[in-house]
Amino acid sequence: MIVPWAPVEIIDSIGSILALLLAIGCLQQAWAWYRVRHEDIFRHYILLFTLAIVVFAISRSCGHLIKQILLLSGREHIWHILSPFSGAITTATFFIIFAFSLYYQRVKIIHTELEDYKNNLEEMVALRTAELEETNFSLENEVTERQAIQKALETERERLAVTLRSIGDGVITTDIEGRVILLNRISEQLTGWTQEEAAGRPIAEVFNIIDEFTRVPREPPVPKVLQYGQVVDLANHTTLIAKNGVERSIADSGAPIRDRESRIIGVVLVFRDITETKRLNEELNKAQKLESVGVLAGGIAHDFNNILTAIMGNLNLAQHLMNPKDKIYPLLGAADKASRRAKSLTQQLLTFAKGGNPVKKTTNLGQIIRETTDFVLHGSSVQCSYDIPTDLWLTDLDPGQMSQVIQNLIINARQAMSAGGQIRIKSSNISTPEAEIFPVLDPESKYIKTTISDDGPGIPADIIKQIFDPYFSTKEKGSGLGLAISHSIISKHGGFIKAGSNSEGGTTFTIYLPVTTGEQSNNSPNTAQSLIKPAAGELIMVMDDEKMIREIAKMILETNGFEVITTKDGAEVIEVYQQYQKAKKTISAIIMDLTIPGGMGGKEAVTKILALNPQARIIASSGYSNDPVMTDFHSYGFCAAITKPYLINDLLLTITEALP
Amino acid sequence: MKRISALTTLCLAVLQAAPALAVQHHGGTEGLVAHQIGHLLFMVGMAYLLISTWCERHSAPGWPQFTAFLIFILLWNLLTFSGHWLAEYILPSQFQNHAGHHIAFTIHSSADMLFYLSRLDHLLLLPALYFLFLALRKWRRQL
Repeated sequence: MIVPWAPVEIIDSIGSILALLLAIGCLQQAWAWYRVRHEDIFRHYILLFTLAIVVFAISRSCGHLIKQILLLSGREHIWHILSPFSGAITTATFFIIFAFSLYYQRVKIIHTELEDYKNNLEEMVALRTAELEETNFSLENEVTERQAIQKALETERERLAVTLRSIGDGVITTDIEGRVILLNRISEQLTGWTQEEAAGRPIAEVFNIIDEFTRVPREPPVPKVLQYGQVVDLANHTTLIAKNGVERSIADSGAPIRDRESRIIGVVLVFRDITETKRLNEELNKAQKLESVGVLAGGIAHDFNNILTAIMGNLNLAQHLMNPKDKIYPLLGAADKASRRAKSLTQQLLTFAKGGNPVKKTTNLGQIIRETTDFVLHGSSVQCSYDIPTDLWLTDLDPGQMSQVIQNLIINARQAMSAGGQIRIKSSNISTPEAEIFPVLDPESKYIKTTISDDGPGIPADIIKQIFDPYFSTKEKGSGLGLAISHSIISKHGGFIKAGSNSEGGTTFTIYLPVTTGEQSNNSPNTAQSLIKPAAGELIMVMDDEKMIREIAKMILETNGFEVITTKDGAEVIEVYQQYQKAKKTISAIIMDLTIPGGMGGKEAVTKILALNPQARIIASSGYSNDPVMTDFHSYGFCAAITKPYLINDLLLTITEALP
Repeated sequence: MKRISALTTLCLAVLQAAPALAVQHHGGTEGLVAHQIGHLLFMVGMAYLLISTWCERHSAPGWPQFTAFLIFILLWNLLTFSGHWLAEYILPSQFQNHAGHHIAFTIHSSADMLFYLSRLDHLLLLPALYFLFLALRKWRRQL
């Protein structure tokens, strides 16, 4: 069978061209695939394998095409020269392809292992990432918790710091070396050191304390606290000297600061300013002293006034009955004068009496100050300047007692400036008294503040606290009662008096008196003589437990035209009064002693008499001028009151006022 | 043992091959032997790859095409190996020439027929390369 050879050559030529094109296409695809993940060893392998196939295909195709061209062109001899090279290259590619084929499995294994490792790696990374995320979450929670704890700690610390700084007592903490760690606000105020200044300094430098009396420096209680490991109180009468030199009385204690293991890691000092407390205690002691004097004064006043009433009444009556030209008359006058001084002294003593109230009237204090001062300084070389506003508020006061206060103070000032000088009196309205006066005064009330200053030598600091004590005096002839009485009077008016003096000399008394909302009384004093009416045989009953008073009263009244019945106590008064009522005889007035030892006094009898006759005119009589009944007799049923000892005119005037 | 027997047979076949003037010569006997060994190794390599991929049971895109490539290239190798071997036994008188070029071929036996078909080896080579191209394109498209 003969077959044509042309198909062989045609297919060989076209096939070679197509093979060449496909080889190039394969190389492009392999390269493109490789480029996407060039680290992939399998892709690398396929690329190289493809390259070997392509080299084979190109070598073979080119060889065949060249052969066909050379054969057709009749240059077969050239092909015979080239043929071995073409065949060799093709053969070589066979070996290369074979070699690559053998490595397929190994490359595949490596590739799979790498892929597995890669996949595992991703899983491991994912697992590790999850673990890290969990750890991170745990850490975040821990951090959040720690932040919350830290915030709570900071809040607690802030709260403790605020608490510490808000404590009303001074607080200082030190380390075991005695060096200051912390001061609270009160400590800064009392010591004059700030936290920044004091931190790290020895406690003795910041907490400078001395004995109040001996002025000997004292050691802070820190060493004792460290030694004994327990609370140590400071000795009494300790004065703290602030950085600026201000001295304050303090009370304090030191306590150890312990850690969790109960080891002492420092000391805390707690102290407070007791200067004001001590001053108030001194005021209290002073008041108690005055009260004791008052009890004593009250005790003797009754008997003493009764005696004086008899003495003065008799002297007065004797003078009244005697010719003034008689040579005995001046002697009686001298005796009367001495009796009046004794009366004055008794009245002063009675100022201390407990329960005694001033007879208050709504008054302009400025007027009393001016009148009293001008009177005391009349003829003196001491000048006085006034700074008293015209709109000074009114106050309820006993004009007599207040005049006595001003008088005492001005006399002291005048005596302190024997060579002349200046007294300055200033009064002002204050809505809020100075804080230093609290709690003696009511911070909600209004007060009139009056200062009386002189240019005298001043009062030594060591005695200024005693000047209001009864019977304390630096003068040879001083009674020691003037300032004590003044203090008592001001206190009973609901006010406050204090004294101040400085090293340059000069003394200033400051008086606070509460303001009233009432209007000023316009009662002008009447002259006793003008009001006394001549007696017209009115019947007067005199009741007193003292016989001599009954007798002198009877003599005085009978001398002046009255009929007099005397009784010794309230029971007798009632009995006699009832007898006279039955007999249809009218008793015009009854003078009754308020206090009858062992019997019914006037205070009790007045209600019974008024029960018998509501129109009865009853006069209270007592040696206690500041007895509440005497200051407010109307409330108790009396129509008038007279203080023993009384003079003739006093008695007659009172009866005249009492009679209908 | 089987491997040794097959290898011995192959070597004898290669060594007994004679030059064929009508086809491309590979540098005499030594060149032809080397080339035939190359074909054999090529076939072994492709068979090895075919077995490996077959055992791995790849189903992903590209692998069926790659398997087809291996089959075609293996068949091509077998055909061309046979062609090279048979060419040594083809007589010049079996070719009819005109103006120095072959124009026809006389087929006396099946071996002559196989030789003639081996001259049309591109009918196997082109599909092989085309399947390789398809496989690579599939893989590339997968990125």
